[in-house]
Amino acid sequence: MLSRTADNIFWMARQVERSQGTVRLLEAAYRMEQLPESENIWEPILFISGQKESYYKKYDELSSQNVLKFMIFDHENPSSIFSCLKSARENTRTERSILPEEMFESINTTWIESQSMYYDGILKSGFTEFFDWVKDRTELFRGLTVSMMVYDAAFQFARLGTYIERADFTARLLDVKYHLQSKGANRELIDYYQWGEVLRSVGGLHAYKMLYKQDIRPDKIAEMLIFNPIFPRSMISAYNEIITSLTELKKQSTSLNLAYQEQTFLETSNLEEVLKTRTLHKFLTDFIGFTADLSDQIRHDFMQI
Amino acid sequence: MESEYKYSLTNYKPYSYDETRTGDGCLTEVYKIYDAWLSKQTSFDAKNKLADLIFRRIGITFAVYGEQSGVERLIPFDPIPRILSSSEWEKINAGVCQRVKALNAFLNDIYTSKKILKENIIPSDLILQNSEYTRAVENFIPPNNVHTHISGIDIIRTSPDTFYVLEDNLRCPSGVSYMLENREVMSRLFPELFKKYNILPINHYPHELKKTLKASAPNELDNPRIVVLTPGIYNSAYFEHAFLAAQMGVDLVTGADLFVGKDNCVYMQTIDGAERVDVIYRRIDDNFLDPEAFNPNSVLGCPGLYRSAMQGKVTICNAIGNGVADDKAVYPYVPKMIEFYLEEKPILENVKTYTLSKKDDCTYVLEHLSELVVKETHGSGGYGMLIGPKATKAELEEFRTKIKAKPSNYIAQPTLSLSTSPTLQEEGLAPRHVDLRPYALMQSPDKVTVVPGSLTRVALKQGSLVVNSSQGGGTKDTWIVGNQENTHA
Repeated sequence: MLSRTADNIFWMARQVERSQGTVRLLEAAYRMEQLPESENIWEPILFISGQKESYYKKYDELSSQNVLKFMIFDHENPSSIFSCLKSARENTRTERSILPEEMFESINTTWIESQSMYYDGILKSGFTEFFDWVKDRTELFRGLTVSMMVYDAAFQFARLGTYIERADFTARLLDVKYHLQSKGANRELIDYYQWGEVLRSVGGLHAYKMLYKQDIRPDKIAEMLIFNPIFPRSMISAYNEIITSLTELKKQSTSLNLAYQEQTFLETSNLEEVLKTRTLHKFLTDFIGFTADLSDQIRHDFMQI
Repeated sequence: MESEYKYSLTNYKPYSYDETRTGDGCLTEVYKIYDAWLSKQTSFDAKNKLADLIFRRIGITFAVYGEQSGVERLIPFDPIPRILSSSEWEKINAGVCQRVKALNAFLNDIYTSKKILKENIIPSDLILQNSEYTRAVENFIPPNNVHTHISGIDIIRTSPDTFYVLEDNLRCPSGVSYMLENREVMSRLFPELFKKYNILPINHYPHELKKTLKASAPNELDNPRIVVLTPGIYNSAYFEHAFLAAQMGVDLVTGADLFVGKDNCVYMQTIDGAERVDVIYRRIDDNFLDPEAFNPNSVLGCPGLYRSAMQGKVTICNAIGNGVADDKAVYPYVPKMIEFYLEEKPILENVKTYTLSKKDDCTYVLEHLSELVVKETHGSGGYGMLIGPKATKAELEEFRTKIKAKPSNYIAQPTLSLSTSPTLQEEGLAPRHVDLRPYALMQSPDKVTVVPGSLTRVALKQGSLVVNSSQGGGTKDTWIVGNQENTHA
């Protein structure tokens, strides 16, 4: 397989996963905004997307409308949903000769539909419907990846793209709460709701209740999102998948060693241990940096980049 | 109100020679059969919508040069097929094979012994001074002596028995994916028609193409690695490049994926390291193929490809240097090539062509400009062309000045009345002018295959003679209807 093809497929999957991540994040913020005393929710969203600086270059004022416009439509923002969909479509189109035709047709349909969407239109038809549409379209694409692609190298690169992005996103999402230090008399109640939204945004509310059978507790939520190997959006799950794909590609590689290093740590550690040496925020920041290095190493090992 | 016979071909009134009519104005046999179905239709709205949806979904779009980047458009598709009988097709097929064989023999000749020039059949200067004549490939003999692996021959028809070749495309002819996708869409829209009539299948084109490319491999390798070389996704024919690579099951590469090793072999960069490439079906013009040998500013090609090809380490399809054979100034001599190399009479007609570098021709053309079609010798895509009878006074004067400044840049031809074919318009069926591009594949100089189909391009504007998609043309599916005795009906 061409190295460039591997890279395009890796990014195709990453961008689809990222557009879903962005929409989940926006949905969480959108819902948190409806809680009392949550007016500062939008800045953390920009921060954890790494887009705070470029936002303020464009807008003087922080408002939900501006942030939504910026994070959904703005083609200059590489994390915006439409930017991600556009790049994903372009990568799929570039590699359409080796991908099942349903994959291009699906992402192309998504892209065509997105062409007629604009802020006021979504405002009228409802943001929740829009968020659902993005989640549906991206899940459909991922479903096609899993059910239509031959289990060859291309498939492994698609999985690597998905799970590198997912590991990164779950860490960022968990970090949202760090940026939302609630104050005041209702602090406890607001915490409860905000943690609930964090969980909901990774589709983990139901899983949490099922697995932990108890009220929403920040330490338990963090434990599930970081260490629980049977929760599919947890950081350790993502690393398990990354290891499976890297092993399929090559029995030994520097990237595989790196991935094992992180996975072993996640497997043998727990929240209590982690918090002995650093804060959760610091741990998540380290994890995000490590995952970015792993991504670079994968591209270096297989794509000569 | 929808009337039952809105689409009947007997009510359809062509104004000049039409594909549906015989010499005495009756419906041809193949169209009679189609009309039996067509006259019962009451609306094509739903089918048109579906066709549009299918084309958009599969993303058969093309980028229009000069328009805002990123704009993708569909080539308009007309659901009324252009139908040819198998006997009409036999003539076209024989004529195309003959022509391609002669053109290939010509390329073999002029880059080696130059017999046709030595015997003064074609003026030497016209070839050797031609900017498309590529000295760099002189005395190079490609595997199996094949230069023209893939050709697209543009044909127009002016009467039931008269077919003219308008242009030979021997470099990177495009459009074959439209031929195949048009068929795919038609069979999804009208499955009942395909059950009823014996429409010859064309879907094996990619298979034939792969056979042709395989046969071209250096050293008769059993399992050569074939790649399709594309300029990339912003090229207007990218869909086709990806489509053909997918259909043949070969890699689609850009110049950046390739490199030429110290051993002068071509390799592609894969996740398992470098892998040898044997055959390159390139969709990049000669000039951009190799910055080391040709245009040094090209970023599309790969340095060293030319060197590798000359040493027989890789085969480039079509061969380098073909442009001289499909040059418009060389075109008038194709009938002579057929007689010279094959000792046959041309089956397809050549259009009378005035070569403006000849003084007499030039004088005649300048006097009759408003009756003629003038083309740039190296132009394509319908750009830089004057259609005398449709031109304004200002346009005529503009061309007069251009011709006088550099006569050798132009040729002129009489304005031929292209046949029309019934085409769907809001009011019903209307005659629109069409051409025909069959695709010929050459495995060896005496083995040419043409799948029984073609790309039919249609000028959608009333009265227009320009069928190019860049100029508002559309396409139709082209049916070659075999013997009706073999139908399943």
